[in-house]
Amino acid sequence: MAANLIEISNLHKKFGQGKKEVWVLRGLNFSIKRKETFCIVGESGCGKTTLGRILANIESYSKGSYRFSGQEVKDLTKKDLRSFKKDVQMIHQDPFASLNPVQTIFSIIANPLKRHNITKKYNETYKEVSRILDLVGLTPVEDFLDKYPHQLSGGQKQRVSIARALTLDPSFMVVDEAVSMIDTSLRISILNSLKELQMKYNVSFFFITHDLTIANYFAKEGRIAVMYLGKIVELGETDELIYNAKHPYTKALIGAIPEADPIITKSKERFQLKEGNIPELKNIPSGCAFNTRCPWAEEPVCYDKDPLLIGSEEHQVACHVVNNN
Amino acid sequence: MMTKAMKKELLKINDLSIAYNTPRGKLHAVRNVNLTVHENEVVALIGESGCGKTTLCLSIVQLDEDNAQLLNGEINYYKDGEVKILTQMSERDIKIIRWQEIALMFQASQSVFNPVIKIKEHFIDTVKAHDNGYSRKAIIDKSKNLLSKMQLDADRVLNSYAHELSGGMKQRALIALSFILDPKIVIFDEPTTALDVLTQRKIIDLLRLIKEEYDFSIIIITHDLAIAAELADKVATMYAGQIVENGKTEDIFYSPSHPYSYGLINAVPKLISDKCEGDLSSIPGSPPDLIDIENKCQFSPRCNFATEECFRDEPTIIKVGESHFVACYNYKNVPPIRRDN
Repeated sequence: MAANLIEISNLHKKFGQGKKEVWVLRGLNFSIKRKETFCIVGESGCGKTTLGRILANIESYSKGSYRFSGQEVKDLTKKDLRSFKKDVQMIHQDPFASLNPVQTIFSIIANPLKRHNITKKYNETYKEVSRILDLVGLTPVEDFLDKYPHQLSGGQKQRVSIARALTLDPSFMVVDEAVSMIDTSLRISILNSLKELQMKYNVSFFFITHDLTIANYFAKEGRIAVMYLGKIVELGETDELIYNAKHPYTKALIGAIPEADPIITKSKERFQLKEGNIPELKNIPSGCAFNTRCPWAEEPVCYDKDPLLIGSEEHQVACHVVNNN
Repeated sequence: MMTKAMKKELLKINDLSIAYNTPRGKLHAVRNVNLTVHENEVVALIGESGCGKTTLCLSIVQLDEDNAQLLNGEINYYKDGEVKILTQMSERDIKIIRWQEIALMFQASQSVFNPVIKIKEHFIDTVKAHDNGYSRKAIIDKSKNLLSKMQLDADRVLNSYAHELSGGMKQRALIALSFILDPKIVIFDEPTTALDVLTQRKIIDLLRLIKEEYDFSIIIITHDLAIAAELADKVATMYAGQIVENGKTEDIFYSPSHPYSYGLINAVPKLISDKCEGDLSSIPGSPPDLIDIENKCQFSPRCNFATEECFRDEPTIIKVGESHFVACYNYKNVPPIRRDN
C-alpha cells in the first residue's frame, strides 16, 4: 500500500484540438495522504473544477500521471475501475441540479448500494439507507425516505448529496463548492458534518472552493493549494499559508477578502496588484503566467522562465522573486 | 460616513406589509416593516434567502411582481421638503422617480445588458427615456466621466457589446449606468455575488470612492455579512418578512441584541484573527412557512434564548439604545460578540 493515497505528477489537461486547443491544467505536482484534507482555492476559470473532475475520473487527463493507491488511473482495468468508482466519490456544486428529481430520497441512496451488491434484500437496504441518512443529520429518517428532492431545502439537498456519496464507504471524496449555494447560517453545520465523517471513516477530501475563508475553516488541519491559470502557485499547511503567505497572488487574495467584522475589514492590510484582468487561457503570458499582474515581476527572469513550485514539505511557492531571495 | 450633524430623512417606510397571492393562500413576504434611510447613508439589509429583502426593495421602486399585494403601510420619499408617497403613485409618476431619484441594480446584473446593442446605447436610452433635454454628446461625455471614475477604459467600454466585457467590467459599467441620472438613492441587490475575490474587492473600493465624491444613499441587499461590514453605516436584519433588528453597523456586529443577528454573526468564519474556531455554529432549523403565520416570535423554534413568552405572542420592535431597535423579549440575554483583539 502506497504512503500517499493520491500522487499527481506533471498533470496536464487540454480541451479542444488544433487551433482551438486550450491547456487548462499546465503541469501539476502534488500528493494527498490518507485522511488528509486538501483544499484548492482559485478564481473562476483557473481549472480547479476540471482538476476535481479528473481526480474523480469523470474527465480524462491529457499528459502526466495520476496514481490512486499506487495505480495509474488511466491504465485501470474494468474490474479495477469498478472498485475505483466505489472508492472515489464526488459531491457536486449545485445540490439543486445534482439529484434526480423523479427519484425519492430512498431510491437515490439505495441505488448505489444495489448497484455494487452491498445489500441484497430490501430489509438490509432499508436499514442501511436509514443509517446513512441518520449519519448526515436528516432525522427523523422516516420523514425523508419518501420525499422527492424538490420537497427539501437547499441544505437538506446538500446533505442528501453527501449521504449518496457516503453509501459506498469511499476513501476519497471530491467536494466541489459544497456550501457556496447554501445559506450562511447553515454552512458551518454542513462543513462540520463533513469533518465529523472524516474522523469516523478516514476519508481524504479534495475540497474545491473560491473562498479562502471557507478553506481556512475546513482545512484547519490540512493543506491549501492556491491555483492560478492551471498551475499551483503556492501550497502549504493551512496556518502557514494564511499567516505566512509568500506568493503575491496569495497575498492579494488574503488582503482582498472582506471580513464579517467592520473594524478588522476596514483596517486590513491590502496587497495591490497591477491593473488588469486574468489573461485568457488561449494566450497565457510567457514566463511566469502571473507577470501581467505581479508588482514584483523582474526582468528578465519572470518573463522568460516558468517558476517551479519549490520549498519545504510544509510550504512551497512558485515564484522567482520569492525563491531567489 | 462620518457626518452625523443634521442628517435629513430621505426615504421612510412605514408599517409596510406585502403579500403574494399564491395557490396555497397569501404569502406574507414583508410584514410591518419600518425603515428610514437618511441622506448620505448606507443601509444594509441582511438575512437568509426568502426573508423578504428583495420584495421590500422592489416595492420601493414599485416593481413588485403581478401577484404582490400591498396590505398596509406606505413608502414616503422626501424631495425638496415635499413628501411623495411612492406606494400611491400612478405608473406615470413613478416612472419619473425610477432611476432619476431611485435606481435599482438587480441581482445577476451580468445579464442586464441587452446583448445586441452597444453599451453606449444603454446610457443614451436610459437618459432619453427620462426626457430631460440632454444632447447625445452630453450624455456620452457624462458616461465617459462616470466610467473613468469606475476605472474603466471609457471609450472601449462604450463601444463594446456586453459579451466583450468581463463580469467585473459589466458590473462596473452597470454601476456607472445607475449613476447617470444622479439618483439620490441606489439600491444594490447582491452587488458582488458571483464575482471573484479580487474583482469584488475592486467593486467595494470603487463604491466607497464614488460615495465620497457624490451625495447619495445606498441600500444594499446581501446575504454576505462581510459586505455589510465593509460598506454599511446601518444594518437591518430581516427574518421571516420582518426587520427584527436595526442599528449602527458596529452595534449589530459587536453587541447584537437579536438572537438571529447573533447567530448569523457567529456562523461566519473569519480568515484573519480567528484561531479559535470552536465558537462557530450554525443556526439549527429552517425559516417558517410565510403562508400560515402563527402569533409567536417567528424565530422562537430556532432560538437558544427563547422563553415561554416567545411562543405566546409576537414581539414588536422596540428601542434599546441610540438608534438601535430590536424585536425580542429576551434581548438583554444576548451576549456581546467576543473579539480576539
